[in-house]
Amino acid sequence: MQGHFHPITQAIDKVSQIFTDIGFDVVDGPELESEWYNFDALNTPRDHPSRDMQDTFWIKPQTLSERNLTDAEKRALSLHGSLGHVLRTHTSGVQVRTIERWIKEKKEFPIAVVVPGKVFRNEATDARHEAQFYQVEGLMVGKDITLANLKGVLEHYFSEFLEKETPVRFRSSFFPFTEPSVEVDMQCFKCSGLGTSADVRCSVCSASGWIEIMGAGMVHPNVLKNAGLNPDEYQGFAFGGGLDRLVMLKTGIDNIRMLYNGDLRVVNQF
Amino acid sequence: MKFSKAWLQTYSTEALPETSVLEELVTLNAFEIEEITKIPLSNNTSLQSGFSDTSGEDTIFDIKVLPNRAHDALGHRGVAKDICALTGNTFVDPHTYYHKDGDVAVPKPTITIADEQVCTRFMSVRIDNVSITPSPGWLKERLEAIGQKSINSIVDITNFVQFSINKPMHAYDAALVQGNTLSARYAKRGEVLTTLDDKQLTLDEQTLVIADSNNPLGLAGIKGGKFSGVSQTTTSLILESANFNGALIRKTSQRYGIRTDASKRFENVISDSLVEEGLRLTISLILECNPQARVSDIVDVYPSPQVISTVSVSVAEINKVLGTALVTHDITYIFTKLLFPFTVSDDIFAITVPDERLDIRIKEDLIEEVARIHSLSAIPSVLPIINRKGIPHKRMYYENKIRAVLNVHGYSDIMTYSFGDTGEVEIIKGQATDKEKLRSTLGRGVLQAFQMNMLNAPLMNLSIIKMYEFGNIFTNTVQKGHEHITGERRHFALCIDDGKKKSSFVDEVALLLSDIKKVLGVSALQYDTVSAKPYVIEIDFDTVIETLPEPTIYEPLTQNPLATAYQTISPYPFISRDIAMWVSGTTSWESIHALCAQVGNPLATRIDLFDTFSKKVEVNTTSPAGSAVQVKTSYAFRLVFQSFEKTLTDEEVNMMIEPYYDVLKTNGCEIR
Repeated sequence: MQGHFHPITQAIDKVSQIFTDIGFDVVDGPELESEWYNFDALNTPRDHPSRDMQDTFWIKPQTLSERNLTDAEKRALSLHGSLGHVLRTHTSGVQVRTIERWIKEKKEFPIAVVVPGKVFRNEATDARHEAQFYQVEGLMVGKDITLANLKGVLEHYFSEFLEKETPVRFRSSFFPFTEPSVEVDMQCFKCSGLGTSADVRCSVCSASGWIEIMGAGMVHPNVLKNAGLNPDEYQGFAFGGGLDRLVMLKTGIDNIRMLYNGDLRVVNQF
Repeated sequence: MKFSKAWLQTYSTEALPETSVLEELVTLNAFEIEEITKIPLSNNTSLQSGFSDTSGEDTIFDIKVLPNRAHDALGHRGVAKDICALTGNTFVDPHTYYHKDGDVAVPKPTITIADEQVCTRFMSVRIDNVSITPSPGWLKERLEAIGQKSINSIVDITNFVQFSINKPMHAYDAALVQGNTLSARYAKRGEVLTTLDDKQLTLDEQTLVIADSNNPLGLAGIKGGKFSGVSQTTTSLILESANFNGALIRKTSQRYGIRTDASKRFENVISDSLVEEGLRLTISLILECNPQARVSDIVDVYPSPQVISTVSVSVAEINKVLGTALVTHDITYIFTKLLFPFTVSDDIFAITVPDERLDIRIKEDLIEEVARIHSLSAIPSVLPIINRKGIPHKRMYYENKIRAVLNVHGYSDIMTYSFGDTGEVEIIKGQATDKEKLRSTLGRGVLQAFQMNMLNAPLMNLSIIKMYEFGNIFTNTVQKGHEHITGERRHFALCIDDGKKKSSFVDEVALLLSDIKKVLGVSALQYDTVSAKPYVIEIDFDTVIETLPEPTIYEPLTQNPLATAYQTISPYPFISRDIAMWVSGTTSWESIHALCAQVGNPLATRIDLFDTFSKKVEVNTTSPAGSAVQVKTSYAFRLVFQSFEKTLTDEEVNMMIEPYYDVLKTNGCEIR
């Protein structure tokens, strides 16, 4: 009898197939991340309300051993006198690490990567919220990468993932590390955007025709600068969204917590 | 924050569009609306707005204002400006800002600022001869519409100003302010302050307070004190309109655990220009309710006036970022609708940023304004062409190779929690005390999962549980040359067992490991035995792949991922019953299964055969030929009962099992 792959593993496999096929590398970074990469470098300063947008697990410094800091982390430490560590609240920290590596290894632009990875939020859990879950981050940076390209890539991604032509729409939003920033909705795959049809309200999208699926935008010039690029020369987009939600929408899994307790009653269905 | 449509209407010359249209415009191009509710509207309010809503209703929008717009849009005026830009309505500011010479007979307050880095502007005025009355109907209705309680006309006016133009205000009873003086200074160690809601705070020296000539009166920018507030006996007021450093207010508010409408606004930073508008608007409204009142000269301490910000952007730059083909005319229209003063030459727009729009400082901020006022729906969709295939991640690539082997060997892929009650690296404040440590091994979580899965084995018709996890573990041991920080490592653990005492799976796992070595092309694979029973081993996966070559092309793991529709799982326990019986040798298991299915009990979630054998028996017959040899088959199978509604009892299941016996017996089965 064959074994079974976890739905998240299958989703990461699918994401990797979709994106390597259109030229995006798959990368990752540490789950235990420094304040610099998780916040500071992403234009999310200390003592700024934008840090409240994510509930954070901070690490007790005395339980960490000494380690080698990157040059940027050394600068942050000397500037602020301290450098905290967190369980990464998003995969966005990998944006800066990736750009640094691109520069160091003198790789050819545009940068195009996806980051499927585990992230952590210190918030109450329920059927739709979990303290650990998976995100897919995307980053594309070059000399002429546009917001229109973001829309094109996301429509391709969702259409391939859901195996159905899936338009996306942007809504105005704010993230410290993108400017302009948008919330991304994908058209509901169940009702094809109709919302209500023959007097039946679509349960997947609450009859709105759209499903809120991720945050995105054009990489903020400060982030490019912090990573070592000249924002007058380079520009690009970034996106990040929960993978669990896509998995739940696609398969009908009704409780996110069922994904992380090692329950074969879930895994063995796939 | 809650916004009243009737209140927003007061800022527009023309009627606002109907709610559904407004909702769509705002949702797409300005703010997220969390909820829309309708409340009855009295005549008072419709008179004020100038547009009588024939429905007799007001619509309340609960809008999520994010930090970038907390400078201007935590007030009706800011949101109304945006709405007018989106709808094409004409924005008008209906407020009156008091501009008269002071009454020299009223002594103006003395204002001092101890640290101009943290209090950037402080204005004040004294108003004598006021009486504290209930608010007029329109004011009450405005505040109540957005969920605020009406207290008295003075407190309500300061609140109205806050929710109109996003400027927190404070009114003191002048009789309770010693020395006719307000100073923004740091607290002295040990000073005590009783807040409006009767909390006693012992202050520290990092706390900025507003004090009179002797004592602290309130926590600056956060909350007023109990002993200087306006009461029924108040006849004379001192107004405070000030601005404070956002980071300081944020830190103080976190330290004392006090968050207020005021602190939220200051920590997000507001413009110094609002200090003046707030004061002048407050005076006008107080005079409206107290025409007899007498107003002193206005005091303004403003050490370093805010510099007017100008930002430029060209049409080409806008299109280069957005991927659009906008022309000068489009941009002109957008900045005009936003009421941004600008000049344009050679297709370069130079914008004078309105004071309160602190979110607009670089050209990208202007590009965002263009994108959303033009409408984000108008952004085209263009898939960029990259002339290469993406490179897989090395760790994931080799993990997949192992997953494929494990899959063939019948192992399932699980994920467990990164948190637990044991580990070396700790979280400062976790979700529960037994979840404040980061796992330093996968084995523990895998063992827990084994226990659960073994219990559920009958539900899955499994006799052996085989599973594995790939995951990161955290130790405080430094691993040299590793990209991850202190002791974060990728591990891999696998578990196999049948829950029986005497079984051993060591040989079976050895075979599996040799297949893994083959697929990775390595000669050795070091592992730790986490547990002998159930058998769990753990491998430092980062070490295993360290010397393996970098992959170049992605190899899919699955052919048709996530194709299954999930069947939800009952939260209630199951009960199983085993039945063993003899049937004649020609009776197939399928036919027995079909008989059981005939019973049609929806709670019978599984019918699984777990043992079968046949034997020859002599059958005595009465025929002259005497005895004959026949083949009999034994089937032993398990029925599993489970409800989605409740926990089944033994008695209930005993009842449920009877029809199975009946149907089997009727069809010639001999129950053992």
